[in-house]
Amino acid sequence: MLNFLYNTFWATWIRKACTILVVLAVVVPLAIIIPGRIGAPERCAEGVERSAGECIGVNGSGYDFGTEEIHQVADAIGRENERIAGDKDIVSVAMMLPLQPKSEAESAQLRSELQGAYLAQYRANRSENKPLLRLVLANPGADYGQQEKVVDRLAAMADSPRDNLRAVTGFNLSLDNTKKAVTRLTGELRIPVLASRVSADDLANSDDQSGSLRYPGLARIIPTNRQQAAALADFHGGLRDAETVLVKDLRPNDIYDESLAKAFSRPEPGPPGPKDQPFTSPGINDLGDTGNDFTTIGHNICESDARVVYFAGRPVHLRLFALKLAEVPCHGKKYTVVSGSGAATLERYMSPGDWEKLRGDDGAGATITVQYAAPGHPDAWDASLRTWEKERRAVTGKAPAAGDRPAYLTEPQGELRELRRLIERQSGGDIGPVTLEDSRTMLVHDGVRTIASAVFLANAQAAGAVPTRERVTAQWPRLEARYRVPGTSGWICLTNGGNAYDKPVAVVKLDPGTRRVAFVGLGWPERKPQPADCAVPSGTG
Amino acid sequence: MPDDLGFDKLLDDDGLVARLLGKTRAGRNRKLLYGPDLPVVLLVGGPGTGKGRLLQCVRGEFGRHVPTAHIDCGLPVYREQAEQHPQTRSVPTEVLREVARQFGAWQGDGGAVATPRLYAGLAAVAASDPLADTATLVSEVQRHDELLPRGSFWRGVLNRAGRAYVGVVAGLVAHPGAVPFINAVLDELLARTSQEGKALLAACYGEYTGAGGHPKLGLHSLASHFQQGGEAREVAEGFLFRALRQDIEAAYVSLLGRLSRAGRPALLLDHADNALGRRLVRPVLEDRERGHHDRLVVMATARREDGGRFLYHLGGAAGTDDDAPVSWRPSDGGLPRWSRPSGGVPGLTPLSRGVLLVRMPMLTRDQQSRETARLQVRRVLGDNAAQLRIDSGIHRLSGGRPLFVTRLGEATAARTFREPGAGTDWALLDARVRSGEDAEGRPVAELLLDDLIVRQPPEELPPEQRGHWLDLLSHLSVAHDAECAQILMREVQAGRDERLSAYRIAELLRDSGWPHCSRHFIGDLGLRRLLMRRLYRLRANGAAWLGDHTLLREHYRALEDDEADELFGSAAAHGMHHHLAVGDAEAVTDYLDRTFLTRSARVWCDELLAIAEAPLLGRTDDRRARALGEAEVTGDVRHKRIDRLLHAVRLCEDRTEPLDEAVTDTLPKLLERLGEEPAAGAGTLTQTAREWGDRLAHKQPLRPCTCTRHIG
Repeated sequence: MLNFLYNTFWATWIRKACTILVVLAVVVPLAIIIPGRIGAPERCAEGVERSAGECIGVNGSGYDFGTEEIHQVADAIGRENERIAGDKDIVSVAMMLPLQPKSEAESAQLRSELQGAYLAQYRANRSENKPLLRLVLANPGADYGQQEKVVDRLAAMADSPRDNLRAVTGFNLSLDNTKKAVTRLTGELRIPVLASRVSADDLANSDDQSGSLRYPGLARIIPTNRQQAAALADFHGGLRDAETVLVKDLRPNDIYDESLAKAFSRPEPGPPGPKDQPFTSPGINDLGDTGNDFTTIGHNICESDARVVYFAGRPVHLRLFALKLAEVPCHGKKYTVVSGSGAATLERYMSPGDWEKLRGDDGAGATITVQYAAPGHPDAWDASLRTWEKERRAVTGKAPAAGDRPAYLTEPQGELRELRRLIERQSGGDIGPVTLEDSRTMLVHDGVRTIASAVFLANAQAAGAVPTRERVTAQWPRLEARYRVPGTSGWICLTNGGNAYDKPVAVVKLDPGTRRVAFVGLGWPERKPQPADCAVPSGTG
Repeated sequence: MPDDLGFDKLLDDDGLVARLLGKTRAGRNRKLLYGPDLPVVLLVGGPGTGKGRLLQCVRGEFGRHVPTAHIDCGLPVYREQAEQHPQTRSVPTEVLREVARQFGAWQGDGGAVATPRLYAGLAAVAASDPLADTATLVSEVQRHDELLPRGSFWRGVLNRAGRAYVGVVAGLVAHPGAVPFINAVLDELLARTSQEGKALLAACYGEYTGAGGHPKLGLHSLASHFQQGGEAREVAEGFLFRALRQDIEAAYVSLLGRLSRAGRPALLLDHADNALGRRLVRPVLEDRERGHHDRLVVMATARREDGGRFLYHLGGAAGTDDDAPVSWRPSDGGLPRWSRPSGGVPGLTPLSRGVLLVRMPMLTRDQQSRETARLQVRRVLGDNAAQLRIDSGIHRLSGGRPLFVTRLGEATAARTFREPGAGTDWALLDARVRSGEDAEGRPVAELLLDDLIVRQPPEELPPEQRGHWLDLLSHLSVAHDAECAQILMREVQAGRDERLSAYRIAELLRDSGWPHCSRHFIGDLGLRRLLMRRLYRLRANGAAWLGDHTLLREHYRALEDDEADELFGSAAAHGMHHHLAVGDAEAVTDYLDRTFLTRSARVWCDELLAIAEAPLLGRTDDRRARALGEAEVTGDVRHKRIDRLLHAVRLCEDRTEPLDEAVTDTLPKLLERLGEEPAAGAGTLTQTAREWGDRLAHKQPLRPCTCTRHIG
């Protein structure tokens, strides 16, 4: 056998040559293909490995993780990182969020968030402060499924004097994996974490005065769901009881529904309006027989004077309720349905036909308008200032002086103007189209600004240019009053639990006619604007 | 017999053949030995040593991996073909044609070896007969068509041209031109050959004597030389062989050849020690001496020990220092170191410089035992003694000659020789081999004589002597030196006109490759036994045997007793040897008893050995009994002792069965006891007794001799 092989494949030069060519033709492609498929994981880019079909890892060199929408902004981040690479005082900030979304809408949202992060980095690195910020992108996979690998990598980066990872931000979904990642980052690894867009009450330190923190080193810059509901209810505080009705879901163990119902149930002035209209849904995304309930509820509401409906329920039920309410003929009566921040995802459940129904057919404005609390809105400051001036004029009879205008409105307004200017000038290079409306860019921008403030503050107080992680963590509670962070979404002053104190929410309405989000007004979780200089009052933890 | 019996070392993966051909028998590549100048490998060995079998092995085993051509120069077919048209064919051209045909049929790596140069030469020769009619010439030329290369590199070069040209040649039958036929053929050939073809023919035939670079002139001269006959024809034939070797070389040096071929091609010439073989080997040797190197491995067989007389200068004995070719035997180990000696003028230096003599290996005792064991039909358990007796008998008779071993092994395969005295060498030779329809079979001795003598007579033996060549040798089996051989020959050929002298016969035997022994005319023990046996049976009751011995006895008796005899010491002793062979031990004892007092002890012992070597044939063997003193012998003590000694020595010297320990113990004692006699040279006898004792202990013959050297 061996001799046969030898004689067939190796006996003469021409046989040797043919054999070698054939073997090379087979082996080389295999050698290129196989290692990627089996054995050692294939590299997507530096620091990023292919795992379970996704590119998991941490990268700061401009890799876009295969997502076309973020190509430009990732490239801009890479360039900025490269520009500062020569400097020896550099700290890294990781942006941890799923970077390979499936849908186009999610990709666009992701782009907005990265743009915010980049713009904040761009500003921080030109503020004459040291150390410089290096922004790295960390992809934990869809639904944070592979966050462990990324957290491992981040831990190594935090310990590495070359990377100096000093904070992790991102976290746009309130999921179990998110919670695990934050728990490990803060608890075990002691890495400062700033959650810019997580609203779950679970992912926050409580502001009681026990002093022990669930997530040591966690800071957050938007109100929790409960605070949002409170702010929303506060916004509608001027309505008489007869004008409002509460539709609430009684399904047990749903904190979101409960907190909304509780916030909406505070006493209102005037004669009593219609009583609360309860229903019980079978599940978060389960409709069951709720359709019939909604029709009857719709008829009852039609009979009453109520035109503002508080809806304490999940978006799936909100949609059906809105549709049923629109279907009930009620002499051209128009409703405003007020719901929690979950309504921001309402659009996802609506078909074009649904929008048609909500719009109504009489041409005199939409039948149903949905209002909810958003973490921010670009029109918030201009509109609020106008409202404030109007009110002052109504009170004092003359236009207020410029210096009297409240700083909690003017400072964010200035910041936002600064940001807009930066975007328009495009001095940060091409980062793709920027839409401020969805507030993501603003929120993430504010988050990275907050981190930068903490790092600068830590640096200014300690010897050595690069502060330790503990120093950065220790700065979170300092960021108030004198050291408040004037964010584009409002002042950020952190409580000792790391929560933003009385951070305003933008009450917005979703107009079925335009399907755009329009600013309605500001809501305050503490039912009053932030105190002057944003000093957190005692008793807040 | 397995084909490669005894050739392990030669055919090994790193053996000589594999290194010469660059391929093992399994087809693995091996580093090439020698080169670019190659020796002609002569496989040298007497009859029955397996030369032809080795070539068959090379052909069969290696021929699968490298192109080989196998030619049996002893076959009459080439001569018969050549004689059909002696003007345009000769035996070498027929052989070359056959070689080209065999290389052309090669289908292994690289494909067929094309031979356009040889074709051109053969076509010119075929067309060269000025007297033949055109039709004959056309058919002669067309006979070589099969050598026209097909496919391969020549597809576009000579093939198409050749086809067209063959058509034109055929057309010449219809329109015989005014010009000589050969001109027409050559013109047509050259006109239709492409530029490459012309260049290649010019490079080859332009070098022919007097061609001056013009291929047409060269081919013309070649053809006319061929027509001249004699030496000129030999030159032409030699050149045709060179053309063939250039063809083969070209097949290997071209780019495609280098890529697709490996190893070296081989030309195997069996029975190459005849005229045809010499006519093929000589031009190769001459060309290579002149620096025309090629990679054709020529392996030829030769029986003469020195490879053949044509290799040496006439008159100069083989073995003078500068002539001696490199000689190597596989048992030497390693590989032969051959390189052409520097200096020398081509044409004046002997051809032996370009020869590598490979001596055929004899079988070792282990190989012999394995072979006989393999042939054993039914193994008789527990009868190892008998088998050992047979083995030692085969070893004594064969001396390791493979044919001998195999034939004897076959003959004794079914026999057991249970009786202690039954397994003598004579009994082995009497064993019958069944062949074909003959139920009885023939004695193995006759078969062996057929194989070794009858089937391969010496080349120079005159045809009229062939009939009784075997008889002559049979008579000579009792002769020792040329002198007594000559006496026998004179007597045996008394009635003939053409006689062969004993000296001539000795030369013929040497040409046949039989070894020479200074003490025996027939220098090979096995052959001698075969011939003796035949002589004894030549006439009824061993009359011929007795007659020859009596003749010689009478001859020596007629001489003076003390006349010096080279082998026996004295003529009287020589006579006594033959007398003993005839059967009269008493007279010999008397003679020894008488001379014990008159000769020196040393001389007496030598005479005793020479006399006692006489073979015992056709009589009851009482030697053992008499050696041990068990027989009644009249006379005094010394006489009795000498009688015992004579028979003991005879048992040891005429060795036809394994030594008997009783005899070997007694013999030195008897000799030593003779020293007790007052007149004896006691010291010499004691010393001799010890020497003989030592030799017997090693089972060696008492008197060393070329033909009995392997015993012991």
